[in-house]
Amino acid sequence: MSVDYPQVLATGLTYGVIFALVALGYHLIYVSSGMLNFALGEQLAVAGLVVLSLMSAGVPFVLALIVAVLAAAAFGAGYERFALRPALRMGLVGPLIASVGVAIVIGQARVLIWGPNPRPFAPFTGAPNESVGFLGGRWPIQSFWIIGLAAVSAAALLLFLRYTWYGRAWRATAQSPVGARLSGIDPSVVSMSAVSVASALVTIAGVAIAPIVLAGGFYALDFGVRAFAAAIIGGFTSTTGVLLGGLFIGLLDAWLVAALSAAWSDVVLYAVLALALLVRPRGFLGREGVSRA
Amino acid sequence: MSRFLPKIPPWVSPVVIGLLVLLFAFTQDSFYRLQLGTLSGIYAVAAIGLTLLFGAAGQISLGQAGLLGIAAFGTAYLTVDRGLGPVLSGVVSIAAATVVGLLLGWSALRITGHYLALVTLAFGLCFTELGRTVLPEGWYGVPPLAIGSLDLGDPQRFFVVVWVFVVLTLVASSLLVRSRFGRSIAALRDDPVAASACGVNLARTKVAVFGIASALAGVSGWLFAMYQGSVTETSFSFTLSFNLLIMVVIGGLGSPTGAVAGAVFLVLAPELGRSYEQYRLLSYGLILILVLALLPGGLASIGRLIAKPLRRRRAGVEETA
Repeated sequence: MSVDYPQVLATGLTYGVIFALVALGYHLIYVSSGMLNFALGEQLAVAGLVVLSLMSAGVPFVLALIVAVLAAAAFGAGYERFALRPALRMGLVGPLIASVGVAIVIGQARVLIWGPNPRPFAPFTGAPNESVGFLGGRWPIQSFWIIGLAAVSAAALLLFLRYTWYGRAWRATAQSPVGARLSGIDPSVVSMSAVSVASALVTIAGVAIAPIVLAGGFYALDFGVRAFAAAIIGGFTSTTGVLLGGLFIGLLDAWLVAALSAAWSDVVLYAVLALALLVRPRGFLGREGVSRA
Repeated sequence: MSRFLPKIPPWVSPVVIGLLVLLFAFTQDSFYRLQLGTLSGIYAVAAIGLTLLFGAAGQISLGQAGLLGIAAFGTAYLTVDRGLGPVLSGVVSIAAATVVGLLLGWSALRITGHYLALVTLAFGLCFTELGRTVLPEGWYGVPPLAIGSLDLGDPQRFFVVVWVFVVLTLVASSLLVRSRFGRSIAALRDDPVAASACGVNLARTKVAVFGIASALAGVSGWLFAMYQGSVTETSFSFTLSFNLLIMVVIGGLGSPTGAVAGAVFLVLAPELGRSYEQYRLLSYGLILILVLALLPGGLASIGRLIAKPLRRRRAGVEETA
């Protein structure tokens, strides 16, 4: 079977950018608190539905997006405080299991509120399924929105981490929780705001991808696990690593689907994830010696 | 503190569970309830395995469903396609699940915590996707359990057989936890360096616990194949892996009796409110979060929580006396 590489590039980058954003969310939470959060995939899947409901209530799209992002941020802070943090008594595995509980609650609440079927979501501009030729492949117009939105939010976040006082406090906590505490930073606030910002980030990603995959939940696990794979392969502790990891998983996934089939691509991708973890647990760009697990 | 309350001997919970099971089996003729009881027993065996692995040894697994699936698919293949008897195919497929589990444990020697969670999750997902791709229809017509001419397949007898396995597993795991090996797996969980300095072979202990947990997952998968009569990959999805983990956590980590309680709770709880079917999974999620936040010792610690004020009162009496 000959593979249409320009098309693999178009599909791979579109999805890869989303994986990268979710992986960035995992990364933020992980470096600031050592917690692993399984709920982000479900939050990604519910984002489009929230915006759709707001829009059907007459709220304009941009305002609906802003409201959804703020609501997700508040929700994230809430469940960090009331679900993940109390479970720390069990060690770092506690929040992981608690986040599975949060994911189940979000997923089931979604089915109760919006039903199991996904809903169509109009692209930000242009007609549905409208695509343009670019670099030899057909790119949905929404792809450019996704890439643009992702680039802007990732860049804003990185600038925030690098240049603001809060950002430096976060990075200090990531490097040394004890040192940060000695300098007057409260690590629990850092951890709460990390879950909050990560929730906002995946909500943006979820709304951006909704016109391409429909708004709904059937892909929550697929996206969640692929983003995990991205974060792991890139190295959980490296910001650049998780972003590149996202793009890599997106391209690999698109290539596997084109070269084999959608079903086999899942098998191979999960096998690659397990092998990558076994061969090089710290990822390909991660630092040595920061294992907090 | 504990000297104020007599310690419950380890044989009590298997005996109590055994008596309850016999009572249930001989008073219950509702097919549906027997089936539910059987199913909770089947999951209880795997949950005991997971509580040894996760609770006692501190090694998380999010892929137990894959091991159950290997044994169930193996049983279906050997009985339906190869015409082997249920017991022989059980032995072979449980052995297969154990070998895969040992390999998983051996390959997981280098990794712990989060990474182990993800490797096992990837293993479980890989199994499900493989099943869906290679065998989308699954297998039908798995024969019920029979030993020679002795038919153990009717619901009542199969229920008793399943719970005999549960009680045996419970006894074995309680003895195991109290043995030298059990103390070394607890040491492995609490402080690997100190355990190693005391002469515990970390690698061998870890792999052995993985083997035990996978063998129990295999028994559970074997029983499940005969219970269901058919095997499809959807029965062994990540949802089952997570459910097993929920059973273990709400039962109380590391307590085999708690794992049985967790399994029974998770299978039977939704039956109490059948008209609220759509809230079932939602409530699993909420229960999981609440137990983690408020009752980290799980159902197994309820007794202790009730006993605590009692003890305090007695202690107070002794002080004033």
